[in-house]
Amino acid sequence: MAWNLDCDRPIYLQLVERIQKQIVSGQYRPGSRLPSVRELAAIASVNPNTMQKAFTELERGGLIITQRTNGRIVTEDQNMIDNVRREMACKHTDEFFRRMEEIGYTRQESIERILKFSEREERGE
Amino acid sequence: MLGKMIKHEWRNSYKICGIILLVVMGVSLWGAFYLSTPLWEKLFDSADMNSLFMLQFGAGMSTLMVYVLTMIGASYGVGIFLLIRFWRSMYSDEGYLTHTLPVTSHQILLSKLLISGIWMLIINVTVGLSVVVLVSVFMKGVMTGREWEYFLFVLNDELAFRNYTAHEVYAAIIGLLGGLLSPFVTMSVYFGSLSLGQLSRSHKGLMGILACILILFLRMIVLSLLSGIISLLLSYNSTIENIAIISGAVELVLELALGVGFYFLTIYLMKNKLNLE
Amino acid sequence: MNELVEITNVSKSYDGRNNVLTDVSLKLPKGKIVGLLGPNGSGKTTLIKMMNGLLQPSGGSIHIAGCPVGVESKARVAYLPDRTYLSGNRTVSEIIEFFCDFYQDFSREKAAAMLSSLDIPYSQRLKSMSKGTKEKMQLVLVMSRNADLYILDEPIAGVDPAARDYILRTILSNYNPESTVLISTHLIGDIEKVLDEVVFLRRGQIVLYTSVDNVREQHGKSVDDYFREVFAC
Repeated sequence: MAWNLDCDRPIYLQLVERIQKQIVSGQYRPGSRLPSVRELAAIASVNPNTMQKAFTELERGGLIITQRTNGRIVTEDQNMIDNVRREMACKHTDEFFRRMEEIGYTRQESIERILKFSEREERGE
Repeated sequence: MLGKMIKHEWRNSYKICGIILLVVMGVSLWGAFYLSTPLWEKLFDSADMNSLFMLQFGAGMSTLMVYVLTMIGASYGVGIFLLIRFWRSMYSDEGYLTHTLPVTSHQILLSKLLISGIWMLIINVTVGLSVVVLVSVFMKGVMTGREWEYFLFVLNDELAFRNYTAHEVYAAIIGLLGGLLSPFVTMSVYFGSLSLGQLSRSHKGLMGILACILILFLRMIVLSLLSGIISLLLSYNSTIENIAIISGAVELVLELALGVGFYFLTIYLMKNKLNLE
Repeated sequence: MNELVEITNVSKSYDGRNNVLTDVSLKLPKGKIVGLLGPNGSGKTTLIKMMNGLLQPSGGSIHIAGCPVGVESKARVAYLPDRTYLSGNRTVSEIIEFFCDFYQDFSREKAAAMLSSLDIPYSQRLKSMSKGTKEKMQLVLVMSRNADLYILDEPIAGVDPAARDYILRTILSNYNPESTVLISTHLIGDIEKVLDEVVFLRRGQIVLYTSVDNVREQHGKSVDDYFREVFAC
């Protein structure tokens, strides 16, 4: 099944985000090998050149490393992975607060809403 | 590549042309059997104009008609089939395949010309032979033994090469060459005419057919005019035999020129004026 | 010569009046999937016919892999027209033989794999094929070639969504960095994701040639949306 991609933004950026997600969530463990550009491009149904661009970007960021014999592997630097996870979390949080603000919630009200929500979840409602 | 083109042209045509050929041979064989029954001899010998005679004579005539129609139909049938194949593979949607093959225009045209010409030759020779065979069978049937022997003797004499004059040899050679060349020239002219149809903006097929008909008439008129003029010019100085031979030779050369001319016309149209829908 | 396709100052006019293409120049590199986009009558088909030697330019020249359009270039170009050129009563295996005969770069293995995944038996005769099957057959013939340039004219028009996916996946899996694929279409939305670059053609002239990412970054919209903007009626 092809990945769900938006044509409004450069696709390679979306691929970068998706692979980052897969790395920080543990789907690709640190030190493990990534599929080749062609394999992943076929799975995602995108142009291999675009996937290559995404890989290059991830390499620049240090999240993946190209080894001459082993192909591409995920970095074993747990700090880096945690950093990326934190960045992504910040982005999501920003997004959340921005959206809440759009419907009239203040920062404080938004946080209260989250707490109430998680209490209810714990109580099993 | 030319060999491959020729092979594929053959593959695309041998089934239908082969069937038509078999039909011709079949009808000829049947005709030969029909004519070789002792019926005919008796028919000619007896002078009784009774109803049986009329019936058999009628049956004979309709058989003859079937035979003639088959022969004519076969010759035209093969020709028309080959022209339709040409048009389809060059100028219909199939042209998208033909003209993007890694072959030259010459290879495309030459292969089609060769195979078409060969089939026309085969059919013409077969029809000709069939007529000869049937006529001989008929004559053998109606002549008495002595008459037939005499006929064969005269024939033998005619065909014996030692009795031929130089003129007769030349005439025979020119006739033979002409017969061999004619199907190829005819196909080349028709190919060119169909290709001319490509020049018109619409109804290219129709225009092609029109061009064929027009050029057919033109060719007949021009050829007869030319041979008339040549004979006239020559009649001042030469003997009858010489006139026949020289005008025959000139006609042969003209036919060749016509064939070659239309070949190159078709090549030019293919290269520069091709515009598939 | 680094560019695979060099189209230089090409024009085409009929009877000196009707200008279908005017001074078109384009250089396409290897290893890219390029979309040739434009409304009907913009000259896409004319340009494609000229690249395949089916039409002569009135002016200018076209070179493919360094050769002018001719026998050599035809051996390196795999063309999928928007017409059904298969006819007659031949079988699938006879057609495969035909292609193997004329094209050195035709791969029987690729053809076999595709025919089997499309469920087209070798013994099937053309006459008994539906139009859709014939189109799939033509796709197989094009994609089984290891050509330098693939030219696909409207490969997904008039095709159901599942078949479209199959076609796009086949194009992608056939990709190699030494070849270029040129796709001419007006169904941009479906193929946008597989394109590297796009050419916009309007009334016989090139109005844009750039990468798809440029379009998205500079204009903040998909190529499909940008196309609608550029070619708004």
